[in-house]
Amino acid sequence: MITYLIRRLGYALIMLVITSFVSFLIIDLPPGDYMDQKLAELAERGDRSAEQRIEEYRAKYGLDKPLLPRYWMWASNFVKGDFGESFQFERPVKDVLGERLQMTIVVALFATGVMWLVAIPAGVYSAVNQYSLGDQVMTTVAFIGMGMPNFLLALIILFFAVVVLDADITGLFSREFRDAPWSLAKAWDLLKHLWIPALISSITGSASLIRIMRANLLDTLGQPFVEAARARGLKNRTVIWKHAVRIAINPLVVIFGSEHIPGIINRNMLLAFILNLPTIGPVFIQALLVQDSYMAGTCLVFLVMLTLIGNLLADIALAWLDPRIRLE
Amino acid sequence: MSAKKSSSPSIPEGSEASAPSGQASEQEQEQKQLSQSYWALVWWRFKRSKAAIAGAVIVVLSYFMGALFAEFFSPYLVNQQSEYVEARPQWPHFIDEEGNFHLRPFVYGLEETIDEELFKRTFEIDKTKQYPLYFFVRAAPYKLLGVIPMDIHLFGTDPNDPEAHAYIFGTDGLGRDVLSRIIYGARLSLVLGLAGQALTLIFGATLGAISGYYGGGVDMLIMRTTEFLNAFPREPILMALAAIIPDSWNPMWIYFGLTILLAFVYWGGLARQVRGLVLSIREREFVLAAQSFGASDRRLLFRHLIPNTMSHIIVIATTMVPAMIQSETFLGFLGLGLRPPLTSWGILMNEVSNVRAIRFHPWLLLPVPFILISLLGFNLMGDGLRDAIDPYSR
Amino acid sequence: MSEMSETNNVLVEVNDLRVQFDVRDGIVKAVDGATFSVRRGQTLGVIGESGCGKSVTARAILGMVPRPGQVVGGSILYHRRIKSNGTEMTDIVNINDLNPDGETIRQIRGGEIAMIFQEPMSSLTPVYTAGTHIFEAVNLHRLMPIHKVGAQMTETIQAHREVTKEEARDIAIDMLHRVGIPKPEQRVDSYPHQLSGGQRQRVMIAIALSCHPNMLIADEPTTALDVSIEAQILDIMRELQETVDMAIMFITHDLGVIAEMAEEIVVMYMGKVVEKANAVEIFYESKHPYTRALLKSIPTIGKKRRKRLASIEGMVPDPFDLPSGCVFHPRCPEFMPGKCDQIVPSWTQVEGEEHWARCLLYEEV
Repeated sequence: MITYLIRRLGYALIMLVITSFVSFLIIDLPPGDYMDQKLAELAERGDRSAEQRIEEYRAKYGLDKPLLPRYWMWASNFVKGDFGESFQFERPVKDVLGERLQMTIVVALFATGVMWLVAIPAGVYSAVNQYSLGDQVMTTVAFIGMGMPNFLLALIILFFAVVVLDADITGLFSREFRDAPWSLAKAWDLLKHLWIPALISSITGSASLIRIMRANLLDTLGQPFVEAARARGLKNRTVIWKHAVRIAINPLVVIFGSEHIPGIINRNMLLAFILNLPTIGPVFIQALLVQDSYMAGTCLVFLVMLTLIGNLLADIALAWLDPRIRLE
Repeated sequence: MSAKKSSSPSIPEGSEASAPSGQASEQEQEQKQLSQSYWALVWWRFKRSKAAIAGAVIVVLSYFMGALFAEFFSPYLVNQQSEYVEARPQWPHFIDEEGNFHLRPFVYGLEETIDEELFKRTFEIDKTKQYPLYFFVRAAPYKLLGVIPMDIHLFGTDPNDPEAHAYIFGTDGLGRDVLSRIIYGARLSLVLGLAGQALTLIFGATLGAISGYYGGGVDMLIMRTTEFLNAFPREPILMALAAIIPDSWNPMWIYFGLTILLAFVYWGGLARQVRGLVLSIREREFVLAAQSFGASDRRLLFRHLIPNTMSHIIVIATTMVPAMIQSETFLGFLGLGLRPPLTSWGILMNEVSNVRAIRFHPWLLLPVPFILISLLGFNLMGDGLRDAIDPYSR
Repeated sequence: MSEMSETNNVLVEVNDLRVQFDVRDGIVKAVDGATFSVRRGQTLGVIGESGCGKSVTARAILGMVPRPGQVVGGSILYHRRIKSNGTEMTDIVNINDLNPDGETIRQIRGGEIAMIFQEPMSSLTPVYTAGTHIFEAVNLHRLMPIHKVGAQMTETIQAHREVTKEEARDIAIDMLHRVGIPKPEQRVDSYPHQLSGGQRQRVMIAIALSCHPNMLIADEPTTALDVSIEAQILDIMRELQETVDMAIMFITHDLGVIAEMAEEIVVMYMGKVVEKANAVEIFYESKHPYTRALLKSIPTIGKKRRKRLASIEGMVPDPFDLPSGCVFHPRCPEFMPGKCDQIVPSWTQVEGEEHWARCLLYEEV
């Protein structure tokens, strides 16, 4: 087990190094750099000393140096915990990300929690009552939800929220609460804003979860041990949840690790961008759009890290849940 | 998913009644069909699913109307600007204010007002003006399929009335008709989806087949590469790569660049699936053939491999096209990928990329249902194809 | 038949049971008139080809006919012995009338009538150990008596409590030992995939027996096992039956196995019971042509080498297109035209008290 872990972590480390370099490279590829934009901005404002200031910035961030030394500088600082400075915010990347980390996790936890709380019982109900009206409705809804890209659904719901309901939905807090200390009222305000991203991501996310849960459970229910369990006098509920679902849910655990853990940043990125939520997603997107190299590079590296960790956790969890699987 | 249950005798032997969609009762028909060619059989099975047919109809219609004859179906040209900027939709009516029924649908006109709060010019519906809609009207000239000069549009306002205008879905920031732009946008988006998929297919299927067929070092190399590429999150990578395409490029070059980019991002999944298919075929027919015919020409084997896997590859390809269209929409929404003066659904989405736009010009969201319907069409068709080709794959 | 029940220690009486499956192509009569009884401590063998309805019958006894099947006729009377206020009573319960997910049937399942299945490979839940399975069953069905001494020294009040974890583990180890699993203290923590096929079937027997059932239904328990393992399992079953005085309903298609195990044999064909007698009479004095044909088809060592293997002519009929009259008539060597294809034979007493058959040869028409 320990050797397996060490090997996986070693592999992950190598991947991280390579991906960090490739990410940096890709972000750097577009012609020009962030400073060109800033130059245009400043020039628009009629700032005469713009050119000189831009040159100062360039030197400060080392943008006049070629790729490799820049990457090396960034990477070697990265492992020390210094992720470079963001051009847009003119503050350390670590600070910007750190401020947003808490809300990112809150939103992710809430959205993922809702998704699973809805999808698992729905999938189980669907499988146990196959072909019932409820099952057919759920299967259709799931099918439609699966074909729908997240952000388009987001736009539709936004339309209803903004035009029909006239809700104030940008950000996660109303103006009064934004900088206020935590209180019950603030938490309630947060919930009032959280329902939209939670709703949107749970519709598309749970669609595929429901389908998979249903399919797995149908397969499992047909297996002899389910009948054998029932023949021992167990209650229907026990047979279904403690025996059938217990087996059928294992592949979903893998999904949780490989998709929902990196999804902490990845999922809802675009949605958060539109709504201007104080999470990491919008900052990441903005950084990619304007070539804020260190910010974008750092976020990308963290995303890859989350993917690798998520996969590892999923594999370990699967082995723990299913004694037939042994890690090699 | 097992097709037959092995031992639990829940239903007596001799009755194959496991399929819910009535397949059992059509078994006789199926047996009669067995003498037909493989593709005829696939088509027959495909026809049975209403959803699949519906999906296919949607797809065909979308390409017909959008990709091929967009100019005819749109009342205005794609870049035809007008003074009616950010105008509300002029929905067609049959019954007017006084309750009269008109056989010919009409729209109410627009009038310019000043919004006191926002200090903007807006265009609101003016019920005093009525413009009937005519069909097969003469309007702005165009070239059908890029060659034939025509000026007939499916519908429009009276060509003799210079004041008449009918912006069914409203207009955008430059006074362009949203409905027309949606139809034109379909052209680029749908064709890009196909082109991107075709390129992905060529690239991915070839590498996957090579990987599965030769095995060994080549296989490892290709698979490790796909694994590596898979570790990157898809959307950020799409964004980063799309940003590489310079603004200054000629739109056609941007289009090609985007196609290549999509293929680059998506080839891995396809390659892996093709590899799996090839491996499974290799286990079966290859060994037998090689043993009975002695050493076989590799090319001959590719002539066996490819036709056998072709049907599955087609299914996979069909189900991947929606992903391509989605990616383009996503990139365009952020202002990456295709840019104006081109028109694609992604570019249309860019106009609603902030909450203000949604609040004040919600009709700019009207491309969304069209995108969703075309995606749904592809998904239904793809699902139907998958069932038709391999009914046990579910 | 029911008059005999009190005196003859009947445990389960199946009377004219009918089970139907409503499928797309029509209605399949999986069980169409099954009548037999199982007595306390006795082994009843049920024999027939695949698809004859024997497994459906077994499941019907536990109220577990799978969807889309439904019991549409007949009765399954279970003679329950319960202690009520210190006195023993026999309560006759019709399984067909019970709610399939109700408390009564769940008490019966596993606790009073247990069942073991054909595929030991997949009949145990993969994520639970042998011990956990036994623990679950014991927890459900076994209560430990508490002996309290009442006011008078001779009086004992019986109360019950649930089994503790340590007790359950001891019971599990004991049961595994009794079914012949070596090193039971270690095996009790084994997962199903760590056990061999024979061991898994032993575990299933152990689980079944851990709750002291009155009857064990064994649905082709050795069909999936090697012959040598099969012999061991059959031995264990016989041993245990003697020790705990348990009835066994043994379902199989293997005549050899049934000869070893059963005292009374029931022969089924196409959902009907066609003959019922004690084992000796079935083998040496079978009455129904189907039974005779089955027996003839057993290859024997020593017969002349050139002779072809005997088989039953014809094929099992399409369940949606059953033959008229007697279902077996197209394949019957004793076919009587005009009779067997017109009249449905009824369940008749053929010889003695206990030999019954469903054949027009023995019926006055």
